[in-house]
Amino acid sequence: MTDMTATTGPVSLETSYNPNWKRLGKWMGIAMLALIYFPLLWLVLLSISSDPLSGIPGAFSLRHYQALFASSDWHMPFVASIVIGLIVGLVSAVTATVIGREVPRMASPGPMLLVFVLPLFVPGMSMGAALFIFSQSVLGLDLGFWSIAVGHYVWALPFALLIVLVVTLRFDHTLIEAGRDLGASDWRVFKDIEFPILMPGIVSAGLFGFLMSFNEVMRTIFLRGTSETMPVWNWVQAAAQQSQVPIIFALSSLVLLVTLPLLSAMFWLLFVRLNRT
Amino acid sequence: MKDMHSEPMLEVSNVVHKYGRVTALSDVSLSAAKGEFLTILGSSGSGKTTMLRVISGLETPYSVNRLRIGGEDVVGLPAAKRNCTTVFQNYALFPHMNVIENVAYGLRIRGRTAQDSTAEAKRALEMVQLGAKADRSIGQLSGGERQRVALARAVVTRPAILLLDEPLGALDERLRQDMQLELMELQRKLGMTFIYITHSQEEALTMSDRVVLMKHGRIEQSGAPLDLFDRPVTRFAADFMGYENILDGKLLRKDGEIGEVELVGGAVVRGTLATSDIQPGGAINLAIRAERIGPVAADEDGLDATLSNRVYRGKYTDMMVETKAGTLRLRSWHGAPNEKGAISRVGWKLSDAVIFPEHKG
Repeated sequence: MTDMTATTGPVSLETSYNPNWKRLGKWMGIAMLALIYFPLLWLVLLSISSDPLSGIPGAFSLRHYQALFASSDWHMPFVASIVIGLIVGLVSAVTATVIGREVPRMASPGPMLLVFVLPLFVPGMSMGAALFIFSQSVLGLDLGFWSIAVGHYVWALPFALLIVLVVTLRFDHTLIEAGRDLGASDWRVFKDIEFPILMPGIVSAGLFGFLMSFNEVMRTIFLRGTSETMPVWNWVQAAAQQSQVPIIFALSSLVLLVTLPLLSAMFWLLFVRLNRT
Repeated sequence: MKDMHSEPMLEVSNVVHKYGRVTALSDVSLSAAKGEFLTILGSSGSGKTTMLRVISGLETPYSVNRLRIGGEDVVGLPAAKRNCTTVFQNYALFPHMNVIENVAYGLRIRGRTAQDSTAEAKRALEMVQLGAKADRSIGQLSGGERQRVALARAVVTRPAILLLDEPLGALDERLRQDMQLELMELQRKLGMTFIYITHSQEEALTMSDRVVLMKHGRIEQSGAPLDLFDRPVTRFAADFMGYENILDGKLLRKDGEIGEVELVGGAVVRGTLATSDIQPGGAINLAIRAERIGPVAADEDGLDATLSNRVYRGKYTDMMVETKAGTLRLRSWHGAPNEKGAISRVGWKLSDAVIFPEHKG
């Protein structure tokens, strides 16, 4: 007890910056990526296995794809999803652009943006139920195609707006003055200067709107009436008829192969191409 | 000397402009002749940029009596329809177009064919020595190169007036000096009227045929660069043009251009009157540049002085001396004989001390 000073040797208790954190971070990242992508890969592998319900890939065949293309049950839901997705994508891109162009001119856009983004955190169930009542009693829509489209639009617009804001907030308004100064009419300034510069954000907003709509289930359940979109159809099939499940594997794999490139294209447009200009 | 009596290229009279309750321009009138290099000089908030924007049409003035470009009345005419172009402070190049597309844009807007406008744009780029970089994207250019592209883009349509909004502000010292010479060269070659905005007295003096000094939305003084440099008529002008010593006093006697002044502290000295409208007895300021003051013999005109501080600043040495009229600053170039010598009395040439009326407030 008399020799207190001897105990204070080199202290290695710098826990916050211990080098093991770096190692842990790296391996945890890899593990999480595996958790995300392995099931997807597994799904694709099972879709080309002859007995997917066993859960183990093997004895590969394309027979479920043949069954999928032979069946026409999924055609209507698929077309409905595509058409609703296109409408939602287009309308959200246009409205997000119109709104997003004005935001930089606002004195304090913060509160308004918060209100716009809030729906992202409203539980899909609440939103679905609310829209269920709204579209029937206020808009007077029969539940079906158009009520689904309205629900998807409400869901997709905040995302589209956020994406458009990436480009509108960094758009330099002196470019518009430069265009006018060089003799361009307002329409030419928009067409030649502003639109091409905002274009990556607008296209991305449209793509994202399409994807948000294409993948939506929760709100659709409330708003669909008797209509079916593809995710709903998939889900109903998976829940009800065991024999149909293999086809769903094939269909989900196809959807995945379409969705991933679309998402990649969006990110490329938004971040790679935009940074080049 | 250029002919300043022909039909003016730019005529502005009595512009008033307000941003909300802030008056940016109060009753400013201005004119520029064909081929004149006119500089509007002023600190930030002086209204110089507003003036430029009013001329270009990017700002609609609160009221204006007369606004003519090349003899044509442009009041109410939008920027796109005015025969003038602007070189913006941040260049405002179109990032999604390459160099040649940027330069050709004004020509394309005027309905010229792609081939024709590209050829013309190429000539303009060669004029600013960027012919080799026509196909580069804007992001690949240095600040100085962007500056040249902005210049080429603005002159390619042959406007009557070129408006330049502090175009050299973002460049480093060396490049700025090179660009000053190039701008003068370009202006002479094109014979175009340049209206140039800057806060740098050095740029204004180097390039201009005429300088307009602005303060708080009014014209403080205008004239040839040398007039402003040697004969400021107000304390603000003297201060802005770099006069280090501005002393208070009153005028005792006038003898033609020469005035005799009693400075605060009682010393009597002489200098040159900047204007004739000062009467003996009136409060005045006497302004002298630090490098125009030097040690003199005991029997010469001047002030007794004792050296209080000496600061070596590289190219020159600054010395502070105490006199009856207060502290004066002297500057001697490195290597000059009085750089290290003792000082007991300081004086100046009569033409180097400027006397102008003191304005209160």
